Amino acid sequence: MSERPPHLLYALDERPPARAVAVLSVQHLVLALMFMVYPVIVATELGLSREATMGMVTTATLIVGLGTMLQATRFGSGFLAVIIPNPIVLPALIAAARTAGPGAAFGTLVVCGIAQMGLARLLPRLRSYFPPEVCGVAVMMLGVSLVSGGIGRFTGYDAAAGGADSAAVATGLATLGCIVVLTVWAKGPMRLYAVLIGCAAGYGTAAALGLVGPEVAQALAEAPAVAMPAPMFPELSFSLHILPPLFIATLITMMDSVGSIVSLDKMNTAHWARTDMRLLSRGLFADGATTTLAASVGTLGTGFSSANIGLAFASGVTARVVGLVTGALLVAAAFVPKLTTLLILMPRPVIGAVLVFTAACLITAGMELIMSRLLNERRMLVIGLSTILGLSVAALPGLYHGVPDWARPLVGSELTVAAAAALILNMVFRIGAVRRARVAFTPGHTPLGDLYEFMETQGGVWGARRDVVQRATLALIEAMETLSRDGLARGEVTVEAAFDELNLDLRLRYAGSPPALGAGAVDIRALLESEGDAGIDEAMRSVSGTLITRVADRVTASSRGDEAVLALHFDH
Amino acid sequence: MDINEETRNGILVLKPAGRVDSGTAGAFETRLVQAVNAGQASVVVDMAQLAYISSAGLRALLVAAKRARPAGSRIVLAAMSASIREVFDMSGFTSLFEIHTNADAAIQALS
Repeated sequence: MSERPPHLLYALDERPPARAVAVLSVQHLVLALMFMVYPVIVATELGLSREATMGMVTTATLIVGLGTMLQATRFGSGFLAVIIPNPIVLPALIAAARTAGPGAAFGTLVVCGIAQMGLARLLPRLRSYFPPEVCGVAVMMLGVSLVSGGIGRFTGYDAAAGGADSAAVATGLATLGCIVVLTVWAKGPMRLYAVLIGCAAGYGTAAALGLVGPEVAQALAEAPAVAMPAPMFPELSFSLHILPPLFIATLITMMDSVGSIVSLDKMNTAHWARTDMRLLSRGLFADGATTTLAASVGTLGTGFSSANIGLAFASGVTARVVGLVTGALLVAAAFVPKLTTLLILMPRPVIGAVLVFTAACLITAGMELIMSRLLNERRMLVIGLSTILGLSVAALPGLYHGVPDWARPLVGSELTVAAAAALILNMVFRIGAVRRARVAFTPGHTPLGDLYEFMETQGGVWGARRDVVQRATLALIEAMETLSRDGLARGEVTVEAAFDELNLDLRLRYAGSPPALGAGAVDIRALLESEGDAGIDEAMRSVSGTLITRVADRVTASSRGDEAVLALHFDH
Repeated sequence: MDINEETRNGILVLKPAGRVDSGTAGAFETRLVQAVNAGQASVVVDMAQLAYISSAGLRALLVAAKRARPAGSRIVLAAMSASIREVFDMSGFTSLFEIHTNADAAIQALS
């Protein structure tokens, strides 16, 4: 069975035509450069000169370019994953720099980056703490967290003046309308051009409506055409005092990254079943290394760009080569201050429209992830309560003002609140969850419907994957029909079911003989073409055995004394 | 299991809903054999509402297909879910039947 998702135009290992690679990489570059506003904010808050600010921005561009290339290799997640300056660390870093100085802030961030590299290796052991509903809530909230910034920029909303700005709305609508029309109705490769054409249309509309002022031309004229990035190289030191908020921000970044890598993994796997922990480890490790490098040269730590993930999802192209080229273009952009200046000054409504489009894609991707498991009361509460807590950040802005400083990064956004709540609630609700169940079945007397109901109910209680529960039910029914048809069980059959995040096991115990499994292949077509019905029963006995052994991932039949046991194992 | 049925373009479409296992396969087989013996040139089995099929259900289809051959009839399958399709693939039954993505496509192919 092919693992290539059928809806993708170009999958992970495929190579799109050079022109498509170029256009897509430029789209990713444009989107990533929009986030260079974060190092600009840090520089402004630290009171850096214009020259130092440009140095910080170009250095950040160079680092995220290298980080993006690293992610596209086997040393990273291996995906088209664009790396950007990390907004989650931003408030903690600014506060730390104000308290202990830039050297201590960046030095302590280096320690956090190294800690992330260490923690990345532990994640495979923590899989049960990141089930799909926890990751799904994180992905959905990743989208929700873009709504405020997206709609604000899209509409030119001004809280002080109230209301939206009509020129901004017109620009935003031109951009978003263009993207939507091309995404929904354009044929084939035109989908690829959606965001880039939308941005161009938006820029044109903004210029026509007077949103692109003379300051853009002036800033462009002042910026040099080509220049080496000039890192700050702060004198690094370590401060225990500022470690807690920076470390918490790093942990939250890791949760954010988990959501991003899960999205990427899901997007690139046709029959996605669970988080691939090796990819997760490598992706987090590489991002930890990039953060360490960034902090050591005096710029903001890094993280995955959810906007670029959304762009890959929307364009239908997840080819790794696009990641490599985007990274190389980012590295090149670090040497072109004029380009950086132009993109930093892109009209806000255009950026807003791209963010709104991206948010829509991510929210639905998160919902799909959440619904991939059977729901029960526990899971419904994990999803519902964590989503409510996440949304409370935006609904009641002052709600978390009283929290201690060290906890501020935790309550800073919808994403961090919802992801932390989902993680904690998932752990709490594991307490007392029944992981074993049994049912008695008497062949020829008990209706088979009881077994379907048993499996459906337990699947819901455990929150097991639908497809695995379906396969287990099919194998169980087939096995019970075999015992009944061949008269192998004398009296009652006890079905014991056990579940954890990795395994679903069914054990059928009864007095009698074990079934003979693994019968030879049957020529069904010859049977169809033969005269009469002779041989049908024998052939179907073989088909039944084949189904049991193929549907289950492992089957063992044994007997001890008069008791026979048929064990069916399913990977989960 | 319930079996709904309709005739479209003169073609009989049987729509089993729910589960076909040893408890229900007898009724399924009886209806299929009746249909092919009644002189229907083709019978479409629309599986859109079918949740499970066990080897007992496959046996019913095999018996009906054997009865259809001398009667000059044939059984065509449509709208299999991924899990039902997996059962057909694993058992080798995929090669026995013409399979369409939905009932409309099956009727169009037969018309």
